[in-house]
Amino acid sequence: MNVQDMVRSEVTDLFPETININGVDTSVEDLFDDGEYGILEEAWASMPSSERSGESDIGAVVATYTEGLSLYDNNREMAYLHSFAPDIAATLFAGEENSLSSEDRALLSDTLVNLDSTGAVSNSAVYFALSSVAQQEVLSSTGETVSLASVEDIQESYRSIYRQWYLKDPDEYQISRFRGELEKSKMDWEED
Amino acid sequence: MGVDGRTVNQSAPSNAVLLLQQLRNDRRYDDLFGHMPSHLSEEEWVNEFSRATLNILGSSAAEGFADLQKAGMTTGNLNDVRRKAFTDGTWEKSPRLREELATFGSIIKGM
Repeated sequence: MNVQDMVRSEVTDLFPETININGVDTSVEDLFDDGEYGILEEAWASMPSSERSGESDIGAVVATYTEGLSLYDNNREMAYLHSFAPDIAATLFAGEENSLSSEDRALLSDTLVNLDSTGAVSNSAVYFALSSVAQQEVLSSTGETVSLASVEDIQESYRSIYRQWYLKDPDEYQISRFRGELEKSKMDWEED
Repeated sequence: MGVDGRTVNQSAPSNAVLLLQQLRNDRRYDDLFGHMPSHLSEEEWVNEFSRATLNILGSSAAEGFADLQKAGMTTGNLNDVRRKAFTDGTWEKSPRLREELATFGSIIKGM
């Protein structure tokens, strides 16, 4: 697969299989066949702005997505985030999540909702990591944060990713052990 | 100050790091991911063998799908997915593989 095909594959994965254009369900694969993203650009423009995160030019999205793949070691979630919020992607990549503002986290959360709606990459450890950051809230002027994700939500993420990695559900012992580690980690933090 | 009046003096524990640690500490990790190249993520590794299995069986709901995928992941060899399908009897439950064998047989007979 050449680079062009790889980018095409990556980008088509970010859309539903078909996009309704003027009442006609059109295959995203077909939309690419004009070679210049022309019709896809039209489809992109026809999407509600809330689903486009302010972007109006699919060509620009493709370009920044491609750039994101290069910057973030071909990681699709990070490339997607780079397409819509490059500064947030760079901040997270640098391990400086505590410097994100509430507005940044809200934008991250919105972007993940859009990514989740594509169904392409939402069931992954990286997606979970980004979601965890999005669910944190700035509590002080120094930018320090606390997690708002519930133990149940995190446990469900563990179960879901475990199922994907090991092709079976975790048993009760494994769930219990994970929950124990999670609660111990939270207690250690609260005692410090 | 935090919501409960406590001064927040460090960031919250990273749930993501803990989750990954737990997943990678599983006793089956080395079996299924021991041959994974360093440039791939676990999801990519799983997806690679899932696609290979889908290509062979034609449906992710096919009987024996997970076993074939695990067989490939265990050795890191995509060919082992197909090999297992024809050595453990999975092919007998798969219309696609039965048809494939029948076609192959008719070709051989015609030679």
